[in-house]
Amino acid sequence: MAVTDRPKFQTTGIMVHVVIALLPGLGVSAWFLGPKMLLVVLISILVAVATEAIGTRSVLTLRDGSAVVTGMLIGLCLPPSVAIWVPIVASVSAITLGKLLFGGLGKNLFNPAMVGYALVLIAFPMQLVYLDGLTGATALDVLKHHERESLDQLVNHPAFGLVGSKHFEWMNLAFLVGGLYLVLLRIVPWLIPLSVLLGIAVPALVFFPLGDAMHSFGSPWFHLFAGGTMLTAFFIATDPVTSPSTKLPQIMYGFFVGSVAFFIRCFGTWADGFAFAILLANAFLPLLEPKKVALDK
Amino acid sequence: MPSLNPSFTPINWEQATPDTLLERIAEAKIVGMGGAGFPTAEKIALAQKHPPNFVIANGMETDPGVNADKVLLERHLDDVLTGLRIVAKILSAVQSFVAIAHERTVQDAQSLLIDNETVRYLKPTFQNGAERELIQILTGHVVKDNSFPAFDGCLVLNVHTLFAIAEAIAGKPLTKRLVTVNDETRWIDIGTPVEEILESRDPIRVGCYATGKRPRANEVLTAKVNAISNDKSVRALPCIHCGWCDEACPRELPVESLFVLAEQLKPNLDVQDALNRCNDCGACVIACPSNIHLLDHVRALRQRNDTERERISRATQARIRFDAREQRLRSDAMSSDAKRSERMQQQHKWQ
Ligand code: SF4
Ligand code: SF4
Repeated sequence: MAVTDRPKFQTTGIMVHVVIALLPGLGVSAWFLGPKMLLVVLISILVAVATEAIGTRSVLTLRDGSAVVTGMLIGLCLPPSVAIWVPIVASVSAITLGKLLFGGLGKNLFNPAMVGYALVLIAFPMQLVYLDGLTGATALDVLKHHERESLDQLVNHPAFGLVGSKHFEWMNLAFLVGGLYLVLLRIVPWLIPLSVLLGIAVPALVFFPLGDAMHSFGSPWFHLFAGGTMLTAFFIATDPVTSPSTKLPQIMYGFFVGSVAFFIRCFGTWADGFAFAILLANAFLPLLEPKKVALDK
Repeated sequence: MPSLNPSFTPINWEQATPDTLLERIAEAKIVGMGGAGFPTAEKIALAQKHPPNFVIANGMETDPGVNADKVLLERHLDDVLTGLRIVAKILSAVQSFVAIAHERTVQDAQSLLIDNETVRYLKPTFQNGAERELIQILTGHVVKDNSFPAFDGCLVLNVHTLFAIAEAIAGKPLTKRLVTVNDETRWIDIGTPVEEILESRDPIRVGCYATGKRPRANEVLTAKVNAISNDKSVRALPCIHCGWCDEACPRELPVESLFVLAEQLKPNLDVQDALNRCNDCGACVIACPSNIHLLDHVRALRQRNDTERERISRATQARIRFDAREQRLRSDAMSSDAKRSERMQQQHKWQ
């Protein structure tokens, strides 16, 4: 009798399930943002896989499937309007700077996908603006750049949807569904996504009433369903290599990511703050969860 | 070798004396078939000296993926119960228990029980199969860390051992046993070279994948081996720090950290306590998604620590011997000085 309460997974199997869980989100994104989204994702994946194979001079390291996931996450973070070289640069730097430089899978300190994404975000900010034919901007941009407008106007702005940001709320819903799939399989520890979501919702709850007609911070519902919230909470913050594996550090880590992202959204220069929130939290990981090398009894 | 046993005459156990029965068990060279390999007759004799005497048939099958206990109980439940009654008779035991991890077999057993016998279904966990834990669950008795179950009059015998006892009393020597080969459980002759049991050329482990060891050169199947498995760990992937090994460990040990330390290929005496507390259950090995054989690493680190402690104690002893020798030489030198001056004085007198 196998005696475990978790269905047995292999590392490769984990990556396959993550890819499956990302598919609804990918489908909804492609539906709203256009089929070029699929091309961007495909290029990111291929370049990530090729970089890993060339970098390690072996196809054996591809077995674990982590390069596919890294590429897919990068593609999903990028707007479909980017020039084709942007996903290429992002994937190459994600795998080399984010992973191989540290010694390969399991030895990296930072989430590789976020390393690649943050690099292009800093280097080519103009490439990363969502240029949606309909609205011209996402609700997060509106939130940031239209501070003088009244709340009513804001909510009536065409970039806003029912609760979150137009189109993005459906994408977030799709990522939430995929994420819950991983939580139910117990591949992803539920504490991390929950604390990321609380990390963004709680400050939003505090700041929302403080916003006046001249300056809204966005409601908790808005923040939960705008930008990359669900993608980050369920798929990026839960990367096992760069996130804690014990309960209290998981709560602190998730809350940190969520609230840093909230403050970057509301007060920082970038429209969405998750990439930097993740990298910052990664840097604090050794403090949050010192490896228990000095063993207690 | 059990296969060399002569064939005995059958004994009517209900009429035989405890001594005759015990003698036969010793003659048949029956050993613990749950993995311990300890001579069963000695174990029973020990418990005999320490009442109150509970006998427990262990059919808990803690090794993940192994079915040998289940198959045995399905096919030979009556023989296992006979074995249990024989041992109970030798001990004049007050209570017998059967612990089974398969619900269906529990129902079958219920109808066959007599007075003083209890069958219990226990959830198959890594804990429940361990001797001390079983005794505590079934009898409520806690065996202290510095004692042994037999000293407390508690005897836990694997169901295969009980089956072998029943067979020996019935005059049949132990020549084969049920072994789970990957997924399939079948009878295999004791003494078969282990490398020949699995057709494939892949590396194997003697025992289940999680707790078994790589075979030694020309190793043959012994009575205590319940499984032969393919060794998945030869295709291990990098550790992704998921922490599932830590989460799985019933002793709550920091398994991943032990693995990291073991990979340094150095002894580390700071973690000796954790290494001692590991009961080799293999839960961590099953949990690891990257097929890293964590128990191998724990065992290797344990081995290196043993060597290191031996080296330290040898060095300390050498140091003590060296100091003692220095001391002796010094005092010898002093006394010979003293003697010489004494001699000189005496010479003086004579002149
Ligand atoms: S470290 Fe030892 S006790 Fe813990 S799960 Fe692994 S084998 Fe079992
Ligand atoms: S279960 Fe395996 S991959 Fe996960 S932390 Fe433990 S050793 Fe690493």
